[in-house]
Amino acid sequence: MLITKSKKSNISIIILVFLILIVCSASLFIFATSDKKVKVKISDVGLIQDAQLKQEVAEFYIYEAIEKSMVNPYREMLNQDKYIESPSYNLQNKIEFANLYGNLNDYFYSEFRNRFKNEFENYAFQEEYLNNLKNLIAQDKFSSSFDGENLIFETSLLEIKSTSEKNSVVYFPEIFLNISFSRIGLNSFNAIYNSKEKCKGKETAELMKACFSNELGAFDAESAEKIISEEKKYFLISLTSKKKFLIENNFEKISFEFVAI
Amino acid sequence: MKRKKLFFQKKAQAGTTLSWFVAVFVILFILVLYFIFAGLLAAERYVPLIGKGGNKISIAKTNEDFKAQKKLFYLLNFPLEEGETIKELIILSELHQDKEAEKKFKENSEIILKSSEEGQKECDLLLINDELIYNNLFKGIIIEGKIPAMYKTDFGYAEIFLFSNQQQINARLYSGKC
Repeated sequence: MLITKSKKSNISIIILVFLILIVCSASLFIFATSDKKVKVKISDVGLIQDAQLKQEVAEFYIYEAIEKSMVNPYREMLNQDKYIESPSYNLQNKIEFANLYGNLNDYFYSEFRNRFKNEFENYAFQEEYLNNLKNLIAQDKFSSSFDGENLIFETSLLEIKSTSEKNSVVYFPEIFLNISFSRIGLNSFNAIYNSKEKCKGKETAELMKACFSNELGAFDAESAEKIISEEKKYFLISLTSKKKFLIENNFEKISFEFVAI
Repeated sequence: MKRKKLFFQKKAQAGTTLSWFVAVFVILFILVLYFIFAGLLAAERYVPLIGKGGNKISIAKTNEDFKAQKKLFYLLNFPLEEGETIKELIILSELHQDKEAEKKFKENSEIILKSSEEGQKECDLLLINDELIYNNLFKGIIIEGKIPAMYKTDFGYAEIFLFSNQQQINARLYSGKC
């Protein structure tokens, strides 16, 4: 009986030792593995930041291409009088601005879209995600719209891969860009038309100039009184953009003139 | 009989005591090992000399890259008095050899970088097509527009290509504490 009691007490000691061993090993194991978890979390943050950096670069190039593709058709439409509905010319061969071209927004938008795609084709990227963007635009896998003032570009199909030693992330960012004429230093055709409607009744060239300058923030206005005959006179309005744009190889201001009727 | 019983009882007690004595040493040994390993694991986290060292470096670097990229975009899109931006001046200067544009963007780059949000606290190094434009960051020698790799982890880094007429210009900015 006593011998069995002694054996029982030995077993309890052995169990105690093993329990301590198990508790220590388990806590060390948890300590070691939780350390790895922290590492994964930290590297994930790095990957997300890397993806965000790439998204910003992609947005930079899209913005660049949109800006160029908006300025050039805008300038051409003004120079070729395509913003005016059924353009007519007075006796001194000056264009008379009565109404805006009815399909102006559609025309501008189709011109913009073609140029935007051409612009992007000329970009020679080295990074995979930027080439994905280039392909996406070439294949029309983006949506855009134009309401006369704002050009909206949207896509959620751009694939951005970020890899580290241990992990890799595939990220599809929601890219949404809203670029307005005022943001690129111009006034919309509607704003020009509205200012013309407001100012056309002014009686002197000075008042006309002040009115246009007041209405159109992106342009410097000039107004000159022209006489056709003793009874007939008109005001020639010249608008010149305050901002210079890089057109081909030079900085140029956008300027155009019309007779407000 | 009673004596015999007592003798066996004492023998059993001595055996149990000896077992406990050994067990205490084993337990103490296990605890010492535990503290050593726990200490090593803790040291691996916080002391860079042991194991792989701290992990915070990689986070700091990406943050610096963010700042550098933000600064580079700020510089390139900065409008001057007539609305022309630095990136447009760079295109004119590099692709069309416009000396006036070159002078203008070189003069303004320093002012713009210093006027940025982080500009007061941080220094920068700007390279356009590997040509050094502005530097108050790196004291060493830059060969072919490249900062030695060992310094790269200390600075935030951003790079962008400007495209015009199917040609490209490389703009790089390193940014870090002065």
